[in-house]
Order: sequence, then C-alpha cells, then structure tokens
Amino acid sequence: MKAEETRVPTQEATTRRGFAGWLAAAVAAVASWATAGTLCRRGPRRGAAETGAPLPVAPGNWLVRMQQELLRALERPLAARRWVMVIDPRACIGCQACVIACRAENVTGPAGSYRRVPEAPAGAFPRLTNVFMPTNCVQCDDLPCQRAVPPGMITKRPDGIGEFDYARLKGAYAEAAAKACPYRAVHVDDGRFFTEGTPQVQAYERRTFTEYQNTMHRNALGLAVGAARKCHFCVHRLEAGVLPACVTVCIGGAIHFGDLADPPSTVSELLRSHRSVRIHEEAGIEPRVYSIEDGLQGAPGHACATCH
Amino acid sequence: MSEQNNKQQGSQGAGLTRREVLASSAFLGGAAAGMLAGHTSGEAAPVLRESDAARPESYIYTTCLQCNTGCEIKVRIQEGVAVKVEGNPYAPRTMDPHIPWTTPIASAASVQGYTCPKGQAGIQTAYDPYRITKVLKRAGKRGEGKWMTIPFHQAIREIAEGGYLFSHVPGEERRWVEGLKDIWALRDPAVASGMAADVAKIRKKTMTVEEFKAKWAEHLHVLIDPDHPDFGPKNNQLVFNWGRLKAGRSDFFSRFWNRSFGSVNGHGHTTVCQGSIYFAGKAMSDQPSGGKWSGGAKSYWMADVSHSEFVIYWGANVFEGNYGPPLKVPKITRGLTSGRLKIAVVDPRFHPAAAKAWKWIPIKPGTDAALAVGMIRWILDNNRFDRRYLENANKAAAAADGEATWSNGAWLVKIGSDGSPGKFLRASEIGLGGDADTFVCLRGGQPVAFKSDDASNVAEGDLFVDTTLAGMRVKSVLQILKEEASARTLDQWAAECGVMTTDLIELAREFTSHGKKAVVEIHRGVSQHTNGFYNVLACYTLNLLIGNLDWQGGLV
Repeated sequence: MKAEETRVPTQEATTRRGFAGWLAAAVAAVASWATAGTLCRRGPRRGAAETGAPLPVAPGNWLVRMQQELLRALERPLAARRWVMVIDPRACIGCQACVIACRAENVTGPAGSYRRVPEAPAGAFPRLTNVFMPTNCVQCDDLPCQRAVPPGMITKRPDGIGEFDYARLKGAYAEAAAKACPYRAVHVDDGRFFTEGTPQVQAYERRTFTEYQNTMHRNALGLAVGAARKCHFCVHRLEAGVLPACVTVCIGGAIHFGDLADPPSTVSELLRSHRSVRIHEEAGIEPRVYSIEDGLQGAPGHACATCH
Repeated sequence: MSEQNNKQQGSQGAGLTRREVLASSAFLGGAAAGMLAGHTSGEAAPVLRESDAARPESYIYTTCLQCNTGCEIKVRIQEGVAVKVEGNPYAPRTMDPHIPWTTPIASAASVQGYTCPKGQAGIQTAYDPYRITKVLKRAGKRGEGKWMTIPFHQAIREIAEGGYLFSHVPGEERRWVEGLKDIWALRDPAVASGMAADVAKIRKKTMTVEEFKAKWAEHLHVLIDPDHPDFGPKNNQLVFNWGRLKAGRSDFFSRFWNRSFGSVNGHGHTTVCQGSIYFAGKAMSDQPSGGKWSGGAKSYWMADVSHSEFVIYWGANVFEGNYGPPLKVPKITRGLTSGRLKIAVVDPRFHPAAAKAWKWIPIKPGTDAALAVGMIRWILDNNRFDRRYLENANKAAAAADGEATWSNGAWLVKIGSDGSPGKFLRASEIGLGGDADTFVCLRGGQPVAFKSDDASNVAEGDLFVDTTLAGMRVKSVLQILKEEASARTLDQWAAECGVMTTDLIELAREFTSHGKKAVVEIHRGVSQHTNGFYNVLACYTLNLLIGNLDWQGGLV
C-alpha cells in the first residue's frame, strides 16, 4: 500500500508544516530579492470573484493536494522554492496524453516536443515487457546547455527552472544548446506547423501563448521561431497557481510535481518512501526530475539506456 | 503586446497586473515582518499571475465525443478558438475523487482533471483542415475522384426531387435519378396500417397474396413488389445507417425516418460492433416470466477494479479504449503500484496494458471460447469453483448466503433421446405442481420444486446431476457444462486457441486464488466475431464459477 498511502492527503499535511523551518529560507529569500531583482510575491488575496478560493482538501485527490502544495510554495520567495518532478514509471501507461497536453499548452511544432514518452521493450515473445519512461527537461542545476552557449542566453531562475532567452538563443547557439543536452530535451523550433501543406494552417497553431511570462506566437518572426526550446515546468501556469499541463492530464497519476523544500509535500513524501533514480545523475549536473525505481519491470539499466 | 516589448521586459517583470505590482510595492516596506508573521495569520496568500488556464471565463464545460464513452471535459477557449481539452474536475470519471459539486466555478477554473490523448485530439477533429464543410457533388465518372461544390439548398432540392442530376457527366446525360419524392410513395396512414395488418395475416397464412392484391388493387403501385407485399412500400427504399446516435439525435432521426417518411430501414452499427456482448449479457441476466424468458435486464458488466485483486483483461484494451481510459486507468495504476492488484492480458496484440501484466496471453483471434472452456475444465476438475454460490438455485437461497445473485447451475435440464440437452424441466412434468415458471433441482436425491425469484423458500441443488425422473433423463446445467468442457483435453483446448497449456493452467489457478475479488473483464476482442455470443458466454461463465457477480472487487 506504499504508493497509495503517499497519495492520500491528510489534514496533517497542511498543519504539520514546520513554521520554524521556513525562517531560514525566508531570510535568504529577502536577500535574493535584492540581488535577483524579482518582484515580491506576497500581498493581499485577490478577490474571490476573480480566481476563487483555494479548494478544500479532498481525501485521495492527489491533483488537488499537489495544487494546494503549489499555492503554499507560492507564498514563499522564489529562491526558497525547490521545484522537482517525480515520475512513477510503474503508473505510466504510455498513452502520450502528457505529450499532447504539453503541445497544446506550449504550442510546439513538428520539429520537437518538450515531452516524450519513449518505450523500452524487453524480453522475447511471448514473455515480453515494456517500460514507458516520460521524459522532459530535468532543469539541471549545472546546465550542460548553458555551458555550450555564451553567458546570459540560458539562465537559472532562483527557483531552479532553466530559462532560455528566445531572443538570443537562436541559430548556431540554439543548435549548440540542443546538442549539449544529454537528455535530448532541447529542440530548435523551425517555425513549421502541423497543418502546413493542408488547405489552411489552423488557428490553434497560430495562437498566442505564454512562456517564461512572455507572450509570443509561432508565426513568421514570432519570438519562439528559430529559438531553442524546452520544458520549463509550465512556469507561466505555476505562477498562476496551476499545475503543469503534463501533471494534471496524466491518467495514470505517474507525474508528480512540487516543492522539495516543503517536507510534507507529495514529492518530498514520495522520495522519502521510495527508492528513486535521477537519470545521468553520475554526470554531476544535479537533475531535478526523479524516477521511482521500485518494482520496475526489466533491468533498470537497460530501460534507462533505451530512452535517454 | 509587441515582440519588442517582450524582449525588453524579460520574463520576471512581464505579466503582473497593475494591482499586483501595487500590492507588491506596498509590501516591500514591511517585508521581513510580513514574511515572518504573515505565514500563519491566514491573511497572506500568494500573488498569482494572470493566465488563461486559471480564468473561469476561459472554459466551456462539455462532453467529449471523441469516443462513445462521453467523458466530462472542459475546453479552453482563447480568442474564440478552442485550444486545449482538460478533464472536468467535477466529474468522477475525469477526476477521481472529484471535487465537491458545491465548488464555485471560479475556484475550479485552475483545477484540471485528466483526459486521454484521443479526447485531447478533439481540437484536431474540430479544426480538421480537410473537414467537409460544403456539399460535394460528383463531377466526373464514378471513381474518378472529381467533385464540385454546390449550394446547400440545391443539394436539398436535388435529393428531394431527383432529375437528370448528372447530365454534366459523359454517358449520364439521359440518366434520370429518382428523388425522395418518388420513393415517398405511401403517404396515407390508413392505407399503411391496413396493408401492414394484412401482411401480418399473410404471414400467419390467413390471407393469400392474391387476396391481398385484390383488396389493395388501387394502391399496389406504392409497393416495392406487389407479389411480395412483405417488402412493404417503396418508402422502405430510404435506408439510414448510423454510427452513434446519442441523446436527442436518435429521437430526431426516428421521427423523420420512421414516423414521417415511413421507412422501417434505420440501422445502427452496434449489431456488427458489440451486439454479441449485449445479447450474451441479456441471456445471462434473463429471468423466467409466464413460461417465457424476459429478455434480460443487464447487458454489460465490468470489473470493480477499485477493489479487485486480479483482473484478466480479455479482448479489452483497457489503457487505450474500452469505455474510457480516464475511468479505469487511475484505479488500475493505483492498484498496481500499491501491490493490491495484479492483471493478466489475453489479446493477440501486445498493447500497453500487456506491458503491466503479470502474464500476457497472445491468443489466436476469435478462439476465446476455447481458452475459457479449457479454464472451466481445469476449474471444475480441480474443485476451484464457489460451490456454495453455485448451489443456490433461487433468490431465497442466495439471500440466505448473503449473495446478491444466483445461477441456474443446479437447475435440471431434460435430455433428448440423442443425448443433447433440451428445455429446463418444469415441476409440473414430474407431478410436483407449480406453473410454467416452476423449475426443479435435486437435493440429496430428492427433486425440489422452486421459482427463480422466490425470496422466501430456499432452494439449493446438487451441482452435478445425471439421473432419471418420472422416466425422463435429466442433467444439471453444471453437469452439461462439465461434459462439454471435458470433451477435449486441456492440451486440445490450448492448441485450439494457440496458447500454452501451462499458461492456461496458471491463468485458471490465479483466477481462482482471490476469492470473489478476481474478474474476467471482456470487450470487443471477445465479442466482435460471428461466434462472439459464445465467446462472451464462456468468459462470463468463468466469472459465474467463482460467484463474483455484484461483489466488491468482482464483476459489477
């Protein structure tokens, strides 16, 4: 019952939050505002008519629980948040719903996707098995892509999300960033549309969208066109109090998101109660996406090598 | 917002509303104090940025019809364009458990349930650049692939009135095409019902075709063939074949096709899809009434997978279709990761659920009954069935055991002179009285008369009976099943369906190792065959043998 229990939110989860534990982070955060120049995140609650009150805890509902944890994390300064993703491949059914949700949210074209769900088949007929391994940018603390391009094009936000400067990360720099990623999580947007060559490129591909709080589109001269692009944990949604698109859409409940600096959070709890791996951890780049290892079918080494 | 502005603003400053900036500025003065004290006061809350994803007016709540499941969804609209499909968090299918129905829409805006990839592709269905939005008319010879668009009103006129509709195509200059008005031949309701009544007489041989023709001489021109009045009027030449007629559409079409135009030819696709699963289900739930069978009340069962310990997904592609990945997948993955649930997959294709299966059985398509009957043989031979459940011959017996259902396993069947089973034995046939719905089972050598739905008089019967009563050879239903299953060896059954005998046995052993919390869940892979009814019946019989019907974790 391990995993099931970890998904059941308890009242404890909200009350157990150690107040003292926040002090250090809070003090550090005040300093970071000055240096990072970020706007503060605290203020009066917005009118209920505009965004509504946060939902009450619904027992067993891991999505609502993770969203509450998200709102809790947003009360804290940017630098005090430690966003991580915890993937449970045992619960991934390889349906690609997360890939499609991501594409719809972030308007990626045929040149690439922020997410993939590679498959690692193993065994011989009829004793076959298959492991589905959702992958995306792991927001390394020591970004190989950052080292491959001139300073400033790729920055590390105080909350750990790697940010691409679409205005500058183009051409050879974009290619270099894509090539440097050991996870193959970066692609260069060539500006093509899926409905190109049909009677009409459809409006949903031409729409404006938001990334890193910039409004953009993929039409000619759009900010994203020609730039290197990758997953950013849907930071535009996070800061609006909404979980990443891949997390909410996941039918199997395989993708967990939250603040590892928050001990009672779902992700913290999962990592405490399960063995986990970080792909390419050996490279010392400190990836922020964890995979639960328990009970994986097939040899984990084989599976990882297949997908990454 | 222009591109240039975006670039200059950078990411950190963009997107905040003026009010948020003001709030932020005000806060800077007492930052440290607010930080330390505000946290527990309940007054402080995060300043949230604007996002379409969190705005209630961005969403339209509706139903997904990318498949027949009809999951509850909300669609995000941006500048009049549907851009993203989300699960509706108020619905138990797309968020389990769902949020309370009293949750204000404003609070639910930023909460999203899950949907399957097919449902999300609703955007691509709605905005398919090849979607036909105008009426196309053939412009060249058949098969040439040449088309022209015509106005909608012209299409309606041509379909209704007919004419030399293809005079622009070489060779069809003089070809007259009938319109609906030509086959809308019979318009008098009195004549229609009179003719129908007489056709019924012809069928009963109380009227001849010649008598019919003489009586309706003035109206014979409305018939498809006056020598075959049973073909009905020409109106029947209008045929409507539909795919899925959901909700009000079926009422609309039957009103036009059947009641207004008067054609009997409206046909759904279900007969060639999963009709077998429905009819086998109805046969399973059939109850006697007035000497006849009622037709059955229940057409479809599924596993209560929230509580099951072992489920065989048999011809049921549960991760990709099968009445809704959002409905079933979370319950399965929770069960798999917690260790509560084990699944097996019987399917020719190694589909995603097979990747999570303890055992995948790549069966030969259409031979499902062979595997099921092989398993039945092993279960009967090894006494792995629920004897207590199967002995209950009626409602009272079931109730006494705390069971919601009972079976006809112990009911006696008359055996013909050639040894083949015939009708159920009635109590009146052996002098025990009762009516046409009073059946018989045998207990301790004595016949027991009972009614199936009798809630007060308990009837329990012996399971394996082969005897003679009042000069009639009778066998119990389970005896007949056992003899059928024993007609071949396990190796022979396994060979018939292309499965290893060891797999057949292991599957049967596992299935009978979880009490009533094991289920065979089937769908079109089993049913959509010419022998689908029997495939389904054999698979449902497996469930019956462990008595899992209407049990938590069982077949519900």
